[in-house]
Amino acid sequence: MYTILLFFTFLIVCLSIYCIVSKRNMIKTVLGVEILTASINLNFVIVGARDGYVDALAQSFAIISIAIGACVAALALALIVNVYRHYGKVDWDVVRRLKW
Amino acid sequence: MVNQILYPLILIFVSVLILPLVSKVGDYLKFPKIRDFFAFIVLAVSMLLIVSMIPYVPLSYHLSIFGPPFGIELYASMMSIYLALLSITIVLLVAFYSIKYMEVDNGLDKYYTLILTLSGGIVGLVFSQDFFTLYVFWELICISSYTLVSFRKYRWQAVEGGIKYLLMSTIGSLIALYGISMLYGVAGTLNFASLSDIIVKLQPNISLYFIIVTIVVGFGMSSAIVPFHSWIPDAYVGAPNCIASISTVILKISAFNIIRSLITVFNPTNYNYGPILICFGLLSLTFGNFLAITQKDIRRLLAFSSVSNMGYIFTGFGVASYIIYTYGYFLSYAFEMALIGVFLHMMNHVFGKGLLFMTVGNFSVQTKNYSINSLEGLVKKMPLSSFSAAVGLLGLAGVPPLSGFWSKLFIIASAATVLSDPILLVTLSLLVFNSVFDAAYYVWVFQKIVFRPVSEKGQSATEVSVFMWLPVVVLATLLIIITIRLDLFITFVRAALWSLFGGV
Repeated sequence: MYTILLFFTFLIVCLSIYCIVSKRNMIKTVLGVEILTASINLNFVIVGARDGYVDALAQSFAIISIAIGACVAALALALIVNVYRHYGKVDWDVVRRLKW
Repeated sequence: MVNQILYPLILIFVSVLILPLVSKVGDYLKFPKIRDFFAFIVLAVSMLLIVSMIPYVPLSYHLSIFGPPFGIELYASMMSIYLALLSITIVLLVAFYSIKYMEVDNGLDKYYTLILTLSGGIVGLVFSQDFFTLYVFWELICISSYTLVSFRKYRWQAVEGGIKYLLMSTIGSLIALYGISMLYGVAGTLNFASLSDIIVKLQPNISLYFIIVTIVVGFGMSSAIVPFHSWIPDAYVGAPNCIASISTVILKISAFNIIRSLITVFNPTNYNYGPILICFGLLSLTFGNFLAITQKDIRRLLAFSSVSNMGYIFTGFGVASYIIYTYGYFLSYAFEMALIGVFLHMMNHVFGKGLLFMTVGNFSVQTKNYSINSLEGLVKKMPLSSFSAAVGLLGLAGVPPLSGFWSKLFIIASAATVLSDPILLVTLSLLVFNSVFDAAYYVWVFQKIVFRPVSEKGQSATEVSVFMWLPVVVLATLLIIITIRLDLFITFVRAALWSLFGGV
């Protein structure tokens, strides 16, 4: 059971990384980062509940990680607002002006 | 009675809270620069507090309810003090430099608050003794530096560099956190001291190697080794130049995360991760140099040379762990020499590259330009900045008397211990080739600054104000002092290394 759960979190991690690298829309990329954070929090909870008892320490890690993830997402969205003001689009293809 | 280890942390984080208040008072008194001096004094005092800890190492602190294997633990060894001093020196000089350089911007109360949270994060990270505290302080550093890189948000370069940096570095630290959560599943604790006791009893297996890969790739993304280097030139072009010089510290801290996790938790005598690190390091060295030599913008050249210098650090650590895994303690002197080279190179590169970014700031303020051709002949117009830049360039190029030469020599000499080994032979030849190659473009920039006639853009240039040349001159003097008293610094680095292996 433990291995199956770990396998599923690994699957979600792979899915979220696929989402991050394949989507051209920045908002969708941030959603991918959020899914990655959520899957890692899930992984912490799973490894904390291995032997039939609940490990409070692992859950506290998950809670702190949620707070940090929210902070990063807020900053990313704030930067995306600024990208929209400068480029008029929220797309990775337009953010390619810096060369040489 | 508060533990001594908490003094700098308490000082910095309390000042973070009262700095906006100080800023308001400064606005009221019509003297807004009071917040700049406040931040500078706070950083100076915290540096003195860290220096005052040296006679009392090792210091340890943990919350009294939960003991070390469970709760948060802070631990000050010589290695933490070495890295904390290294980082705080640069941040302190940047705070001094920003008094003049950043005065054209508004919102400076936020700027200095972010500088203080960044330095608090660095001090907390090097003192943290468990993986989760390390991760929390690492995110504190990262979030502050994303904001600082895109601080001039009215420029599109800043926004573009900031969003690229944010995405790469966030994914990297999340991948590292995934590895940390797996490590918690394997060992049941995240404390470094307990982890090393538990992991050493286990046989090396695929899941432990998976954790090693996540940590190397995760923190490697933030330290800009080659497959993940694409953010670094954009972030450096977007950031204000003083923030770019703090950024070099963040690269080193990120590499230190990898080195400390691998050395203390996964003992290099049991785990064969040396070839992976050598591979990453040599790729960074070669690609960084080839990309740097084609650049026309001085900031992008310096960014790619940062990539190649991170390559030296990774190659040095890879050579050390490969030697100790393959040849055992028979060659432990080569192991020690490579690691001394790595940590000396960290110091040389932080001081040299920090100096160069600040001088680029000085030049650009005068010439309004960042192309390499606009630097021609500036030694006649701006002697102090130019001589400091020359010391930094020659130091990074590894011209023999200067300290950059010795750190590269230690790494190369440790790779030359076993010439019959094919991996070490390839490493040695690529290291020698690249050390000549990167000397070429540093010396090329050096001769442009020093020997060429003044370009038309530099005709009206004059020496910048004292706030801007003094930090550069201090860093150049520091590089020369390191060269003269190299024995002292090697002793310090060796003591730091012993503390990394559990000694005092």
